[in-house]
Amino acid sequence: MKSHNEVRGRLPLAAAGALTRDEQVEVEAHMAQCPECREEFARLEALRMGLANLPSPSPPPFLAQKTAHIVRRRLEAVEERRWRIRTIAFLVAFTWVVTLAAWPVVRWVAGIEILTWLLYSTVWGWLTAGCAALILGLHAKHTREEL
Amino acid sequence: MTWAVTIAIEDGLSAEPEVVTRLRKGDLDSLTDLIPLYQQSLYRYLYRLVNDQAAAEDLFQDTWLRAAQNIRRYDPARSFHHWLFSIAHNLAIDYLRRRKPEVLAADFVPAATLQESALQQMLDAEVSAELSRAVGDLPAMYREVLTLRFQEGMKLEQIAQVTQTPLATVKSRLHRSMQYLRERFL
Repeated sequence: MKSHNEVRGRLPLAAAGALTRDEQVEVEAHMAQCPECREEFARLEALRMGLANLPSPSPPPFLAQKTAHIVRRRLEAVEERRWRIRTIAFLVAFTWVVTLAAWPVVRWVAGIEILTWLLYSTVWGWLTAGCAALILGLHAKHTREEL
Repeated sequence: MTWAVTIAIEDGLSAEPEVVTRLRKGDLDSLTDLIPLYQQSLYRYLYRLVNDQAAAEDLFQDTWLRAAQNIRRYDPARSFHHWLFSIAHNLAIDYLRRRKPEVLAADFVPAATLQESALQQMLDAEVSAELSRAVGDLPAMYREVLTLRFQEGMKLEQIAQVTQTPLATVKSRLHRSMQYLRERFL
């Protein structure tokens, strides 16, 4: 059997419905013969009711619609960025494959060695990629500003 | 700010699995149906935690953005409600840590005791507003436990899951905050 003080210490949790079944039984058994604890429990019960009925802050108007719109736009922007990166990666790989595949033809036509051919291709590749990156960057900036 | 009394979770959560499944399949239109289901409870939780309307609104949007980005990681065996609130909890705690002066879980000293008659008037609007202010004076971790327990109706185990803290800590925070309010009001 728990002492009066031990049970009294548990009353806040009893009122909050946060005791185990055994603890609850002990508290109830004690309260059945202790008017002081019954009174204290009634006060805590009133407090619990007050907490459950606190005024609830209302969300600003259209918060759900605004949030759905913002989330959607941001996710679409992320998806578009991923698509752009995948496209660039594919184009880079494709360019290198074409460059290397074209070398036998270039050597036969112009007699250029592979290192020279790769140097030319790399310079032109960087120039082209630079222009493409600039265009994509400007487009991305424009999209971000729209968001 | 407009205040309205709302108890427990809004109607409509029974539709949760179907809408959540749509979002998991990448249907962004489902957000239009899903967000309103949690609008009141999630906003209230965030507002109580950060005590600031604008911050609560930003965190509300960030929570949904994070949820939508990570929806594939959501385990359908788990409650979406609790998963969503745990995201909100993490974002709010990060915000509170950045916002400095507020103390997250420090000790608090009970204020002066109010009159005995306050008990009888607990449901009176004035007392209710006073109780609301008293809850607002508590450190964030204590406010959070009270809100999740009494306004969201969560069990202690669920609160522990949302706040990612041991059950004993949740129990202790609940006990201390009840004790504090009891001493302040009754």
